[in-house]
Amino acid sequence: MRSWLLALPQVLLLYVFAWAGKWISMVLPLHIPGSLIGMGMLFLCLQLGWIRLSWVQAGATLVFSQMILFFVPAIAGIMQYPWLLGMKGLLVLIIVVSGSALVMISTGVIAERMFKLGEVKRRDSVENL
Amino acid sequence: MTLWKICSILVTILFFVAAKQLNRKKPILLFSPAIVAPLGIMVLLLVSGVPFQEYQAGTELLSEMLGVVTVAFAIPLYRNWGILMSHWRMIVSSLATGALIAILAGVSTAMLLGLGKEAAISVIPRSITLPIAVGLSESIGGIPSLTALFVMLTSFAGVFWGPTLIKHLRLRHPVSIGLMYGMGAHVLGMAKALEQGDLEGSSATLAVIAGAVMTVVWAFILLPVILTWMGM
Repeated sequence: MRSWLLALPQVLLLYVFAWAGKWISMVLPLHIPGSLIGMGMLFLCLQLGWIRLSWVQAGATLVFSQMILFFVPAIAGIMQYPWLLGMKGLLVLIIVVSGSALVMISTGVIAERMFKLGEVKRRDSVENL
Repeated sequence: MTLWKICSILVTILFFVAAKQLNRKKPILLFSPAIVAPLGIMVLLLVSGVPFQEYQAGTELLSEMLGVVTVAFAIPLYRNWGILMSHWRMIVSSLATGALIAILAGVSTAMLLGLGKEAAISVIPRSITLPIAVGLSESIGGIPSLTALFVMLTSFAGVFWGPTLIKHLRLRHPVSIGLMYGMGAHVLGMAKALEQGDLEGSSATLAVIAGAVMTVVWAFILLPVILTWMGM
């Protein structure tokens, strides 16, 4: 309970950033989600030392640990698409499952290749010495 | 209206806590609170005959918290900035490719299978974390709840594929395992990668953030092309 009391004002601080980001995205014609602008601003503030990690860390931990709760209304919104139970739903499943495999294969393979390339180079430079 | 808001939020929290309890007893993917709690809400709404729009208006505050979650991602990003910078080539090239393939595969299969333009636009932010995906979907003219559905299914598909792909692709480096999980399964992937190790977990976190940024960039570069292709 005490950790909650500590974390709640921090969540409020995060909320201020989210709100400011939303406001900026409304005022400026940027087409970037406001929450993303808020994230960028908080990151900059942390980097510049204007905000200390300890001021927001507990809040972030709390928000992350209860994250699924905030998704519940959005996921329940699926009920607006009853067609998902039929043939179309099956098609959606095909799109998602096959696409995910492609995405993960390309990401994993490229990362692993680049890592191996870097490793070979490092070894070469050692041998050249 | 205030009473209605408090009630809908309380009911949502109740379902969420109950779903978490259930998941603790039966820790399998199908009993995840991300599936059980919304299912409970749907059944409740259907039985009581309350239109979804009213529930949505009542739980506005919870949906607004998704923006706060996105903002909070600045913290792991800040904490892991050193690792991110030392592996930036690997991270940028693998995630840029992953994000591009996610968009191209999603849009083309959605169009080929005849799901319609709205679905094809909504599928673009599919392979990124939900709060950012919903925001992106709104700003490119998709349907946020449909995007949410695509994202959730993607998360589950990613966690489902993960172990098989690690084995068959012979992924050894913790960062590449983490990147793959973060790009493919977002938050669920972060949890899954963290089970494998700390570096896996933090690179998955980085992949969730950087992958989202890449997807946003690709989406705005490709959107005119996609819209022209769809004849809009």
